[in-house]
Amino acid sequence: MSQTTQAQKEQQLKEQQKEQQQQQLALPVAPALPAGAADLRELLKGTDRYNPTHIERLEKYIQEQVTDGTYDFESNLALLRLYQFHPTKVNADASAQVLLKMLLVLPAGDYASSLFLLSDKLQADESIKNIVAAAHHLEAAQFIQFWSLVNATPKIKQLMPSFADEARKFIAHILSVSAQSMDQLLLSKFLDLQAGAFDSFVAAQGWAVERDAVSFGVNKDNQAKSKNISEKIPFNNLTKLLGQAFA
Amino acid sequence: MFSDSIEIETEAMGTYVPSSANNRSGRRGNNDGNYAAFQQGDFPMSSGAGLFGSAEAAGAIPIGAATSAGLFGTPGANVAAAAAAATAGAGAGAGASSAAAAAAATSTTNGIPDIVAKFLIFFQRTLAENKNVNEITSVYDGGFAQTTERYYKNAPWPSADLIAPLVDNDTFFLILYKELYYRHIYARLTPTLEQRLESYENYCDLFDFILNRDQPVDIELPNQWLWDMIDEFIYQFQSFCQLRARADTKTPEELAFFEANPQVWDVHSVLIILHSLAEKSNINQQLELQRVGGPNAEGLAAVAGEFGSRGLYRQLGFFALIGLCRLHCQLGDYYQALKVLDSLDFGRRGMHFKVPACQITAYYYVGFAYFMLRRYQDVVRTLSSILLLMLRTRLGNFGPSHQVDMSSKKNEQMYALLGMAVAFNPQRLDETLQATLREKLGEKYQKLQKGDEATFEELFKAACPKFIAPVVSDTPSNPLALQQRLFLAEMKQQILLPAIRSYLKLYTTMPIAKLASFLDVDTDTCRTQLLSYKHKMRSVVWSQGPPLSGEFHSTSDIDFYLNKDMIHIADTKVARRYGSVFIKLISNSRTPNDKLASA
Repeated sequence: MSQTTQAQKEQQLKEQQKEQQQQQLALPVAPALPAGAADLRELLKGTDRYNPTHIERLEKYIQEQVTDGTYDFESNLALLRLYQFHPTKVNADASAQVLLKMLLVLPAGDYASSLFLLSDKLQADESIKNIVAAAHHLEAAQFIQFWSLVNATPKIKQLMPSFADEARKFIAHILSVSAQSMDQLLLSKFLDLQAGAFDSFVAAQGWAVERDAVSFGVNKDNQAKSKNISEKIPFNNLTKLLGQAFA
Repeated sequence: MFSDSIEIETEAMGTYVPSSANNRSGRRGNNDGNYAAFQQGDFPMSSGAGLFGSAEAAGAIPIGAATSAGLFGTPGANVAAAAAAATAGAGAGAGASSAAAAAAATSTTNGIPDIVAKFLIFFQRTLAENKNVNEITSVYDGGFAQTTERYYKNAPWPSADLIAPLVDNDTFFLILYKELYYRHIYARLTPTLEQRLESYENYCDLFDFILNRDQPVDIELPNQWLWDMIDEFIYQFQSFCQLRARADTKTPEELAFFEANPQVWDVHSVLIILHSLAEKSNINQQLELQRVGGPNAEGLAAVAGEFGSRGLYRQLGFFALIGLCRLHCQLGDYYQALKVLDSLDFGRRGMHFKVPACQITAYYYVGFAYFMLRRYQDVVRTLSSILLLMLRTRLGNFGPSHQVDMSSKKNEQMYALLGMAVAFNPQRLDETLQATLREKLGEKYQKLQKGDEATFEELFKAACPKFIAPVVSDTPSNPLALQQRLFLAEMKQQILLPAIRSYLKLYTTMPIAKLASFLDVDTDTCRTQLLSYKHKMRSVVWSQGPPLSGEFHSTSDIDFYLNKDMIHIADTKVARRYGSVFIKLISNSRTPNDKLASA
């Protein structure tokens, strides 16, 4: 008896989760955590988070993430925090790498939360300035300006060789959740890809070419469904009122 | 001569006791009642909170009177005074003479009026002998404040060295006294560098005394006092950092002082103290257990441990969490600010903040952190709930005067934040709240809707907390300017969105070119703005659990997609809300009914 209810509950839970997933918006696939993430979390627990001896290890760690495409937000934020408290130990390149990494998981709040931690001095740093400007273009969906800035800043490639490729995937994601199809020429400008490279990228994304337009296919975000919001009053909100009625 | 002094005693005590009794029973009691009524899970739409409030306040009067009578340590007098609460003057007079008789042996100490000396002796005794928190509360809220008004309005209290012989050199009492002594200097006078240093050292002594021991301190202190300690601790740190950051106006002596004392008000020690308070009390584990389900007392005690099951440690731990949230906000780490509150559930009814100032502080900083993390829906939700509570129960309008000042300031700041968040993310607010918001912001409200940059800048400056530059760096840093610049950059992107929204709402399909002509931009810019809109309105929205958690949702009430050069739009229909109307009607009809019944 109790087993069946247990099974039913699990079933219900699964259905609820499924429903929630359907309501949730599609996001670019979140990068995996690096292998050493758990150890590092343990290391940065409590007040040890502010221990400057961790800086070196964290700098190595962000370098690892840049190379192997993994991402660990919390540890990266801890690094910026250590820089905030120890301005003499600041490494502008590592900070820039952290920012680049965080850019690619927009619209999550990662980038926003890290920006406020950079000191005036860091904000004035040339490569950081460029990254902030690039982030601005990316968020404002000014992709053409984004690419001209990125292409004019060799330092970005130097800091993170895979940045252009990952940014392209990110843009492709924004486009495919906002539109069902788009002019081919415009798309190639948005992605900063020409001819062969463009065709193979489109093929890899599974998009269909229809004459002068590219169709992204229909997904749950690029359809507009009208929502109906109706009032829901949980019973708990009425207990006081009902209690009074019998008082 | 002896009779003279007695006379002065009775007169002074006489004025002091009944007014304290009035305070406790009238102002405080009323507040507690309202506050408690909400905490017990009052439904949010109720406009009748005052109703329950006054009922409970009536019940609070005898307790308040008993407390102040209990001041004099004669248990029998408690009952008598409670019964004679209305004629407090007579009862207090009797109590006063017995107290004067008990403490008659005090001699005059240099510079300390007899009455103050007696008060201090009494204060120390209440702390040392009395385990009843209510009695300590009445000395802390009533006696201390009144003696301050009377004797030390614009002067410091006697130094701890002077009063040490009066109180048998009671170490813990002297530390607590110094906490009050320096706090009073910060509030009424300008502290010197020396005093800032001493106050810092005293805080270290205080927390060291509480934390570094095998057995918990066997004392309970009023929640208000504990909150004031944590609040003041962070305030003094902030004040010191501001002083240190003002590089241009520093005198050589000041520079030498900062040079010689790098450890004073060091950001690490402040963080470590707050973290240690939270850890010692296992407050996170306790809150976690409370969240997952109705905790039984034994389970809670097991998790809390020897220290955490004491009110003193539990409350300090909880306040330290709120303090950490505040501190992280002031340092610009908004993620961490919310992260430290992981075990709090702001959706749950009856979260026990205990002290109104603490509750207001918590909601303000959580709201501000959401604001900077661009989670505008969460800003509106968080701030609406506390502002409505403040409107309906007048939360924060009672209690010690510094708390009232702080509440009204935070109240203004929260309306400014709410106004900006609503401008970014238009949505329907509660009617009363909407009206108050418009009234508070006046013409600025319209300017926000139009995206006026100067208004945003002005409101941001007014609404943000005091930012802290935690360390001295070679380049002069101005954290406010930095945070403000970053915010305005974000604001310029956000503010395009409401205009686009207002046009999209009118159509189901429209070509991009047409929208571009409405917005007075070219087609490419318009397409860019549309893509940005779709991107920006995808935001994390909290639904339950830790404040940081949440799922990506579209926060806009309209949805659209592009198909080549055509925009397809779907609107959201909001059904009328009946619940609040009915509840209002029910409570309206109850009032005359109740009156009839009681007549």
